Amino acid sequence: MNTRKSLRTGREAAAAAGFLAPSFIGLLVFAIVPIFGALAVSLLDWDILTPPKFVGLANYVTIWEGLTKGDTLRQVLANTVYFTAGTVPLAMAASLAIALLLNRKIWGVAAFRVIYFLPSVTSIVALSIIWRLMYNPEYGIINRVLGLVIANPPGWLADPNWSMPAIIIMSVWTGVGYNAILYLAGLQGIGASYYEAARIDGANAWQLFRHVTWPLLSPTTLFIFTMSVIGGFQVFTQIYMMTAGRPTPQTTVYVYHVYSQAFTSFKLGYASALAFVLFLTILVVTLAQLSVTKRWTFYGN
Amino acid sequence: MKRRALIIDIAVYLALGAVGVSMLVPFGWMLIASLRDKTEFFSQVGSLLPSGPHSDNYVQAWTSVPFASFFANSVLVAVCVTLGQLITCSFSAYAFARLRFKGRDALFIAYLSTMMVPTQVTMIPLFVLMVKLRWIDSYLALIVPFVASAYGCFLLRQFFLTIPQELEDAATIDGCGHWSIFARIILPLSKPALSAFGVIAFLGSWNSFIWPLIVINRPSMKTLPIGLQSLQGYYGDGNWAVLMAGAVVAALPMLIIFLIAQKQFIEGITLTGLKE
Repeated sequence: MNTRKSLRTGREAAAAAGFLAPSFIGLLVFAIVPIFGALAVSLLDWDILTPPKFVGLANYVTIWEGLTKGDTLRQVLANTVYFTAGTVPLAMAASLAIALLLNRKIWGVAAFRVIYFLPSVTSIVALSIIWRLMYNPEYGIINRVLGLVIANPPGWLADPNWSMPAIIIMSVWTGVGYNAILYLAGLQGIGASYYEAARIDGANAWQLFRHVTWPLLSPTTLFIFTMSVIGGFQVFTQIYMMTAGRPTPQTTVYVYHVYSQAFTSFKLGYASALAFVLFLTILVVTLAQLSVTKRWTFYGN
Repeated sequence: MKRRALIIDIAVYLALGAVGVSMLVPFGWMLIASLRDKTEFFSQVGSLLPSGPHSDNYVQAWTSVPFASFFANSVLVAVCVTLGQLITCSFSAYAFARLRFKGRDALFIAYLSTMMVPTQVTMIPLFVLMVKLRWIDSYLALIVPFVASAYGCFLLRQFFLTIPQELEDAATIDGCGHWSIFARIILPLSKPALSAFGVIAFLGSWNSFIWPLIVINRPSMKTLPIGLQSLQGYYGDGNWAVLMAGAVVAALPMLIIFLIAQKQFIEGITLTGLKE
């Protein structure tokens, strides 16, 4: 019996190795080894054309000095925080509101769900081109409409004060449908019995939301919040397409900075160090979410 | 009471409609703009509709940059990445869901932890790797690094776990090995999960931007997103109509696929939310 069992587990392990090999090799080579690669490159002064020079922690010291002495990097970080702080609450509030509307069992709701989701399946490059032209101060549709109502509509992407708000509005518009679908799934996971019980206790619509929906939705909220914050730190495409960081440096965000340091200035070492700092930040945010999820969220018993 | 319910319904429709309009206006504007004469934008009296359908914008977008190549490259890359991910992910998901072997849980956690690594961290060493392998400006660079996906493995594993074990036990008694159980029982029963993950994988590949931007320079090797970016570089602000025509061509295939396979899209997204 014992030998038969070990023979069986041996055969199972061999089969497992076969099933796992393709993904294991892929993840090892293209996800795990590159993490260590990034760490190694971050210790170099390297432009890929000439031989690399080992500089120890010099790139991290440069980052630290950039942040404390307040050069471009500090501005870049401030821009990234501005984008994230502007996008996340707006997008979350809007997507929750939309999900609550979509959750009503009324005719035609499926069509609205499809419409709201359209931006999520469209290339951000195409959306950026559309919005860049819509934002054109003179000829774009936004100022043509606003011009009928107010005297001096903002210059949007051309105006240092309005370029980031313009990108925030576009990004909220782009992401709201996706988060609404997640919220909707969360809402549909709440058992009808909770609402019935609360209604018997005489709760009104607001009390139902405040004391039933919102607490039971907290895992979804926390998940969307974490994903949105991480996504906010990583914003790139719409910045690259709509402003290319201009008016410099108002919309130069972190990943745009990493990209231009690596592939325009070819400072691979410094850019890798920047990317590694981002990685650690995201890791902290994710771990914080996991521990908060365990402590705070209400799993409905 | 009934009247109150009616008022609420009307308010809900108005709110849904207002959001819906704001979602559709940019798309409508894109479509109208793509059919305008290129000088129409800059006239002060903006009329809502174009003076006539100027389909030559599409011809110009298609011919001024190698748009047909962009299109073919995007299709080829997205199909290969999707098929590759479906294969590697379903293989590994089966091992994690059904086979017992030493260190399984630790390995699974290692898989999951790769999801926390942002692409920006790995992109520089991967770029170096592509240079060393001489894969710059090749399909290999666009496809191979994305053939494995921890996310897909996780998603499919969760689904495989819901398939009743009894089916497999019966097959084992009939003398089926793991490969035939996988191919004859698990895969056919997992069509909904496979198609939901498939459309999400396809979407991700079709719209991916920063990686092709880094590893592709040759115009004929570009995918649609970076091809569109080069169209914007080519025309700048000079010819909106052609830019919009390009945007329509790039966006339309995915929109059509979405309208056909909305159920799979919504399911795929919903599964993302259950990631925790």
